[in-house]
Amino acid sequence: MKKFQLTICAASVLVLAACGADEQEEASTAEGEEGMADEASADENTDEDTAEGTRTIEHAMGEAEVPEEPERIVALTGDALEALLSVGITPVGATEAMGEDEWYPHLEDQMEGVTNVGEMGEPDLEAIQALEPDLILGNQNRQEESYEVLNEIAPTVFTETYFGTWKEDFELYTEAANEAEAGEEVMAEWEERAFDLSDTLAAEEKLDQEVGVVRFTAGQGRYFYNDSYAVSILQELGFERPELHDEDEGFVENITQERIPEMDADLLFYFVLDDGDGEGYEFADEWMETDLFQRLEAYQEDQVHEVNQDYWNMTYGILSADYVLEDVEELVLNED
Amino acid sequence: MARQTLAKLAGLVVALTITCFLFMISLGYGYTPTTIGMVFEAYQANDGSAEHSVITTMRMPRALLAVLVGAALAVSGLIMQALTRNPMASPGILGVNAGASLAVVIAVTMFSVSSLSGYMWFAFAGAFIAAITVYALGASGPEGLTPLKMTLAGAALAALFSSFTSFFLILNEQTLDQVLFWLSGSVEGRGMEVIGPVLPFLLLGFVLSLFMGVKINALSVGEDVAKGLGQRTWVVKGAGLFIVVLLSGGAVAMAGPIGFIGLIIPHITRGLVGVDHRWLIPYCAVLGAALLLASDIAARFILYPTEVPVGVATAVVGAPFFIYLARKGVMKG
Repeated sequence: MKKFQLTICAASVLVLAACGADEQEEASTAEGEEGMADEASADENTDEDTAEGTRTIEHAMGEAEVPEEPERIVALTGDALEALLSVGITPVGATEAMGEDEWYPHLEDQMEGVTNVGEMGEPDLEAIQALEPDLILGNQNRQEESYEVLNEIAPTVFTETYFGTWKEDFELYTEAANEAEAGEEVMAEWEERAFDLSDTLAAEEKLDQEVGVVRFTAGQGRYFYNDSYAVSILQELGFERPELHDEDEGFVENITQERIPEMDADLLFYFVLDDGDGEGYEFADEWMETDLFQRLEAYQEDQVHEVNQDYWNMTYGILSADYVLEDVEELVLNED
Repeated sequence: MARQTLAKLAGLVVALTITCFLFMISLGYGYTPTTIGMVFEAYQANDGSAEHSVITTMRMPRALLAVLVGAALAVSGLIMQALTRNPMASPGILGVNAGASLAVVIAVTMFSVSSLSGYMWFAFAGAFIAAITVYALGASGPEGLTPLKMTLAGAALAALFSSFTSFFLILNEQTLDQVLFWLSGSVEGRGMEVIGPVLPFLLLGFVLSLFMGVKINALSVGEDVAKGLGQRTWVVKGAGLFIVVLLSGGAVAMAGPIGFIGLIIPHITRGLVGVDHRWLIPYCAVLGAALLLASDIAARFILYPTEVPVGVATAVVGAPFFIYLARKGVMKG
């Protein structure tokens, strides 16, 4: 069924692409007389489809010829969205937040005029096409099966995984958007902030602690390995890792209740994925009330902290990374 | 005759012993290094150690759940096979599990039910509707109830129910995680509080089924024979349906849908003790419990330390045994 839909979609895209090519010619002939001040964005796009105005971007799926200065960008992942927002670009379309809200609360006030193009796992290809984007930013792990179609709609640049590579991914996204320099600045600012926080943490002798990151959902507990967003930030700050979690290969370990002792650390951050009906929290409470959990070193020392999962586990982007630093600062430094 | 009875009784005792043994293994071995000795300590001289708490708070509920769910699925499968005179009948194949699952998914997505006792009533209703519908569809048409028609009706309904289930899940993408966890079918991490509300209904189902042996014997020979013996067959069928709904609905409410047991245990049991339902019913209960216990133990070690879904383990443990029996020709349908 899905294949069938996709075929239809691909076919219609091809037809439309053919139509688009016609328009392009018309546009370029009309250009001389009328100029393009009015229909700026649409016309500029078609203009830049010509060879002189493109740049080649290497990405997870190969190479993409992207416009010199893309103007209508669609962001299919949270980190792509945050990358664009951080350098002052408002995308024309973005996939919605995971969970209850349409947009992530911390991004909401910057989302004006952005069209919702569906779920991250299954973006709405028609809606994306209707936006006439000139660049699409996505992720191979999440949207590989739509890549062919997306690439027909507009040059598409994919990052590979969504694990611990958020900084490289940020670089790729900002470069594709032709804001590499601004991106570098933003990242440098963040890194400086992280560096300062790390200094303070070191001065307070907090960094010799082994830190673990845990997630609860209804029906599942997991802890994160090094190749994950939140842990990579904590490691950048200089925290130690518990032996069992200190695994460079791998993203998470899903565990059963009997394996709760594996979660142990000196300092434990956890977040709960809950869709608003309280089941995730109920489940988290159930686990945290077990004898095994209450025997954890972190629990005994009162070092189990809940953190906001929108920041720690949702977008995996640069703006959230700021909030992660804020949380660490508040929970670890100002605890007394 | 008396000797046969004695042999069957002895067999039942052996089966019970095996089940008790598996129960102890289930308590004694898992991810946390423990021994069977510790199981006794945990209940006689609990020193509050982590091992003891694992045994009493995590392994005990899951072993009890395996016993109850395994027994319930096997007995309801047996009764379905007898009432419909269809060797392929089982809560899984005739769509009863799928009906109960759909009802629970509707409860979660449409009515925001999140308590187990809420799940339970929906599971009962879903199992009931599915069973009635399959029976009605299978019995329609001039030649009446045939095993083939019923199996087809069951397969079709099961497919229909699961597509509706997917529909509701897609519609309410957010609740996916919770429901998927439940739908995967497991006895791990569900705790003692899962058992309490459902237990009375399961016990009622078991007790009623034990009184049904003779009546089902007559009915399984043929409707005419049963009527000739003066049986009001619709009462027996109604009671059978009631039991099936209690047992499979209750099992699904507690552990999610778990296939295979309801199908193969009745066959294995018939291979062992023949066609007398006075024996088949208790044997099925005991062997069903044993298979789910064994599967749940296997689930812990097949991909240690990751746990395999118990439904998968059930097939891994049960299939070779099933094939062995089939090849030996002891399965008589």
